Amino acid sequence: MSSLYGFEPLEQIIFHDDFDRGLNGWVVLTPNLRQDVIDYFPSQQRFSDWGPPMLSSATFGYVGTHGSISGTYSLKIATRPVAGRPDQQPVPGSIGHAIKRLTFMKKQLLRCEMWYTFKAEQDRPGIGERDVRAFGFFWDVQDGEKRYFPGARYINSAGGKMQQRWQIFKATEGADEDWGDMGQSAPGDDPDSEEGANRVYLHRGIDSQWLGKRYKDGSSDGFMDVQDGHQKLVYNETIDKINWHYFSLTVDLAKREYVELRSVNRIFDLRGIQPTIVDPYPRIDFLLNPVLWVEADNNRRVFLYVDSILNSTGRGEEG
Amino acid sequence: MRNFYTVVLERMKRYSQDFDTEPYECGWAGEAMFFIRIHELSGKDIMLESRVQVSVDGIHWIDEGTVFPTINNGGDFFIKVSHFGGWLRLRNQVKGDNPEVRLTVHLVLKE
Repeated sequence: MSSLYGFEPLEQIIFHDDFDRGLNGWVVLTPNLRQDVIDYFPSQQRFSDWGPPMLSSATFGYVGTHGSISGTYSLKIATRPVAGRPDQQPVPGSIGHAIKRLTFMKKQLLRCEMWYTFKAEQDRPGIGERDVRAFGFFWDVQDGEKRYFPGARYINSAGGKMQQRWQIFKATEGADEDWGDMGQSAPGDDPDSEEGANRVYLHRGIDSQWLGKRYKDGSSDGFMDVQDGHQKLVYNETIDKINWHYFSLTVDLAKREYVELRSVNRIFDLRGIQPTIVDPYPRIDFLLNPVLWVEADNNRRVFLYVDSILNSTGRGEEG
Repeated sequence: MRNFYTVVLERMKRYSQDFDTEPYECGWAGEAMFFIRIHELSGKDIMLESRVQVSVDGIHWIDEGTVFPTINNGGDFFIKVSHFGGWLRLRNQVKGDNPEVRLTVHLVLKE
């Protein structure tokens, strides 16, 4: 393991990936396969085209190789050169997505820290700052009784207008029918039964990164703005220079609450706020899946680079 | 032990026109294989012609010289490529009368 410079982990490190030795288990998110044929559920087909992660040297045509903070490679997540309107659900390919699949043992504090940067593709003149709609991190958590998605998103631009504020996963009140997908998403408890009583579908609060009604200013039924959460990150002055940023999100798995978001020099106190909590799904008790994603705001590829990412758990200072 | 990674560049996807796979960074790998799985193929005189391209920046592309044999039936096909720099993609031409192909493309990388 390389230096932990820049990280402030809790007592027990779950993983520390710096991507100079491989992808470390990060893989693109694909829909669940059906029981009857090797294919996806019809309503899930539109989620089968997200951009996969890759090991990047962060090479630019007229700079050369940036490399990473302490080596050559970072994890890069890329979109296709497509985007829908900000008040539409994302079109296929407009998101790049990476997930790692774990389980967890203790209901206590959980922290994700990473050094990352983001950029539009240098395929045309122009800085491209407005072409990155959003990026973020969340965990998919199921603790045996409930499932929830605690996470944070930086909404950078919407419809070409800069937004530059932090949001957390928390759905507005409302019905599952308005969430955007009532189709079957997985086999039920009895996998051989037809869609019916035990139908599994995406409840309100699940997969906020693409579900939930969206609005022109980048707000969404799936997210809540962080109070005083406006922050200008370092996009730099040109399309081919990158700066690594510090991100940290802490949640309390015992209380099912947010604790704190840190970004560069800012600390946002999130205590007392809960993500949307839903009933458990079959076969995923004590699942813990960290997720990274990036979304395009224009018909241009955009990239999230993660130099390194660390997840840790513990009782924290209060323990 | 050598690093290894398989990425699915196209996943049971339908095409009726020419297309390129998305740029994939693989500078860490010393050898690669592209696999094409044809799930469905329809249209008169349909042919899929695929060739490897390389790039210095993931944006400007040049033919590498390795090409798939012309594909005009279902099944699995592969080609090998090495010494390719930082990026790889496949350029694919879909030819015929009302052609449509449903395919999966894998890029298999080894250090």
